[in-house]
Amino acid sequence: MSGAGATHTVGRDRLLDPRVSRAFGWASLVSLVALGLFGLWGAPEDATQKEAQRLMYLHVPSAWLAYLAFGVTALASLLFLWPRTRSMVWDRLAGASAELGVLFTALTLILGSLWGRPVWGIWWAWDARLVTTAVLFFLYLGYLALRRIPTGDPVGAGKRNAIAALIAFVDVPIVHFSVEWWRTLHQKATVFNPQLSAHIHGVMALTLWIGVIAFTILYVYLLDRRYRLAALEDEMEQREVDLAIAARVGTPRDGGTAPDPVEVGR
Amino acid sequence: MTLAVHLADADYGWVYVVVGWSLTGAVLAAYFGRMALRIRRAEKSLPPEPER
Repeated sequence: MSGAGATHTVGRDRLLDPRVSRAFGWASLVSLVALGLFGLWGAPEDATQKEAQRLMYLHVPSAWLAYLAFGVTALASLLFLWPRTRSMVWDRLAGASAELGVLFTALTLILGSLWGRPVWGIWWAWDARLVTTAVLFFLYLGYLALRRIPTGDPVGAGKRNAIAALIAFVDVPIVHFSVEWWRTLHQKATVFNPQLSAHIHGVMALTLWIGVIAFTILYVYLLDRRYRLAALEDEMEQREVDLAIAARVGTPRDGGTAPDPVEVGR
Repeated sequence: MTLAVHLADADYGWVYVVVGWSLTGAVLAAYFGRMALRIRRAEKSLPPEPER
């Protein structure tokens, strides 16, 4: 960030170089089109699930992205809590990634329900995997609500957010291992399960991989965009505060020497 | 609703596929579109980057 005074709480205003970000945008578009072609036409119909199985090409990558997004949120929160690495960049990154995680967890639940109706015969079951995933969704929804509570102490708010994110992350391994720990309607791990040694049709496996890769590229692109939006909103807020202080004190806004809240918070 | 669900249960799994894929596309497009608009609006309301 350039400029003085107004930028002391803003920090890095972009996650990726604009050209790299654009490249990710185009790559996600191309890979999503490929996923659509393979998922809806290229991959054959499943022998028992029939057409409904095509929902798995979205459901599995969405679930993977939820794990990834909440993992990034937890890592960024740890980096914020650690005094040596504390920066508002980590707090902003944690918030941006959590929002994407909530979005993809919601998609995971909806797509799973749409698949469950024709295959299981029910929209929803009080099954350990489903319930812990729903709990995960509400935990991070609460985390996002917590982030919106206004405060005059960015560092204090950042610490509070980081602790909440780490508490919520406890549910991620519970979701993952729920199918091992409890008897569930939801199937156990399939693709990488050595005991099962699942034989997946080549095009089906390829389509699943395209989905995982396409969604991961999309995540990086959306994370960059969401981070950019958060940085701009922080900057707008900071400028408003600086203008209000300048109007009250009668000094030019660029002459402000307000301390860095991150430095103060150490 | 009951009839639709019954039909879909039998051999009309593609109905759920169409709904699921369309919904996912619409949600992602709406999320991205809204974010792009908010970014553009915020960039317009701030002075050009070299002046900040």
